Amino acid sequence: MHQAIGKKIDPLITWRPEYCKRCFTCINICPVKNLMFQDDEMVSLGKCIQCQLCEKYCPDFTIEVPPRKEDKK
Amino acid sequence: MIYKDYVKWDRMPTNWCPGCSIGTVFRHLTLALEKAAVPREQMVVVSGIGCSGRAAGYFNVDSVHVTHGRAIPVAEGIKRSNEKLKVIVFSGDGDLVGIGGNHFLHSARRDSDIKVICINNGIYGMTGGQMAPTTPFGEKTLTSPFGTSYAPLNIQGIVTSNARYWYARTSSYHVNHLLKCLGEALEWPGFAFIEVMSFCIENFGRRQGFKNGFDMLFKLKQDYKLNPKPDGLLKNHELGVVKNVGQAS
Repeated sequence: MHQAIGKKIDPLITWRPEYCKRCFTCINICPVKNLMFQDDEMVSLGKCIQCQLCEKYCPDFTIEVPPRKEDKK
Repeated sequence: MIYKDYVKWDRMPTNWCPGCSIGTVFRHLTLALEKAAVPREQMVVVSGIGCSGRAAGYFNVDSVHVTHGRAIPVAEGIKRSNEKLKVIVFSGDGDLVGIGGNHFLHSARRDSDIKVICINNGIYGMTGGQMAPTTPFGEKTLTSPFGTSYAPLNIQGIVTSNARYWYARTSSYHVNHLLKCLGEALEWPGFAFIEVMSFCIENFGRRQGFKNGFDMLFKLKQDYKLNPKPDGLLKNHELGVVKNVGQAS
């Protein structure tokens, strides 16, 4: 069996409601306060800087954010 | 092979409490295995009793969930019967140094080629929050309502009293250091012990006045400081790696 597909709450952020336990760690770890809960659903305010801290600290493989593309010089 | 291949997805979500950091350590172990490119057929995860003992069931590799405190002898037996396997012990402090303290002592002495990941939350979490050998001095628990009157066990001292050792102390807040330590331990030929400082919110933190798991996570940030090049052994509240490539005499 594979990981749940989840839903895109932002073009960058995938959230899997099946795995989420609503522990609020991602919301508090986010440096730009991008994430919040609205009626038990996670919403993004569109300020994501792709630091991936929410993905790193999430204990339940719930959030996924792609890494930032390196600047081509 | 990516890190998602090491996880048994049909058993998700895990039964750990919301905000518990065992999931963070579990995730970083799968990332370290991806980085070290360990084939799934050539590794075994052994875990004992406790919340972190559940992790053996969430790994999509051969795994054993053994009785109280016996994770290290079972892992050592597996390693001795098949030398090719990479054997990882993933368990908690109550299981490894509390109940199975004697096995830990002698495995460290024999320098068996197993990697031990010990999640140290300083409490017997799953059984309701009783005082453990690793509970810090003066902390209030279920069985010590006026604060513990004993000093915690010195795990670093036990490991480093041998001629050849590898010991790391890291925390579930310092995830980059955790990932680095896990990767280094997988490479080390011998007994590697990683003590991951962690917390228990439901049965320990609530008695101390913490409301949420992330409050305790940020307390780890305040309490522990990284020491990249320790002079001798690590002091209290320092994170780092100490090792000695000595020969047993």
